[in-house]
Amino acid sequence: MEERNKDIEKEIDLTLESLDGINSAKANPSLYEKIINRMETRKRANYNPKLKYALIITLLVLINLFTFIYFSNGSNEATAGSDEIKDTFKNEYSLTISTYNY
Amino acid sequence: MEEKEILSGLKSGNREAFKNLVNAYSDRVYITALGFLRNPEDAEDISQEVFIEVFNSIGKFKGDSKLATWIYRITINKSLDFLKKRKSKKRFAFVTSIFSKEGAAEDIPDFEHPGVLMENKERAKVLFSAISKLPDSQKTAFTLNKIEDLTYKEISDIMDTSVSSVESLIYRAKENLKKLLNNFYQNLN
Repeated sequence: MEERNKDIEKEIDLTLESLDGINSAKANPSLYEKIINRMETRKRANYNPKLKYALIITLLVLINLFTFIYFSNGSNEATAGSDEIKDTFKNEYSLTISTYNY
Repeated sequence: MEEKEILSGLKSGNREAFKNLVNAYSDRVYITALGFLRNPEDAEDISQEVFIEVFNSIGKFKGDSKLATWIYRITINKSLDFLKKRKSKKRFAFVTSIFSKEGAAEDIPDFEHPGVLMENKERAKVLFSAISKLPDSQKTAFTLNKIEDLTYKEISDIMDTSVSSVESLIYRAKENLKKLLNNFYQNLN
């Protein structure tokens, strides 16, 4: 048991020293080009959002306007139609408002 | 290009100055990020983000520290933020894995640092895994000292703390690493 613990302690020390003499890693030689690429891509992406949102809002306003106009015309037509039906009904059945002297 | 020339060039958005900056500091940024993230692709990704941040924020650099110190700070902050996001992704993946048949997301595989000597590779893998479990401040101090080979004074400038605090952080990091390694090797056999 003691022997094992000594072995483990030795292994721990060796592990802690395993980064000694570490050589430098090198960055990608084309890092600069990649950075510029990324910056340009972000610039292009940022250009559109305001225009995009303006278009979406305009579209929504137009849709609402169109819907409003359509249903407004539609209800006038419906009213006109129902007036016609009433008149036809009245004429056919000679319905008038009359007062009787009871 | 001298540091002053690079700084004034950067402040006026000069691309040539920026290129010189990247060439001068790319290895240091990459190595630092690699030490924290233990993944070459992530380290390269963070390196790009660091230099973009430097370019965009150069107006905020007051010159009360060295440019290298400032760049190291940005690198460390971005690396630690990335690690936090990675950790919460893992937690989320673990929770979703409870409801999924596919199982939990895999841990990052053992990291082989390209600069480690051949005879130390296996032990270094174990050590990097243990370093990743340290608190951020101990991790930072230990990584900058062991991997970047920075002095305690340089580390204290980067971490904006005293030299004695750095000594204490590195001491505690080593003690914690010994405990973690002891658990690892005890359970190994």
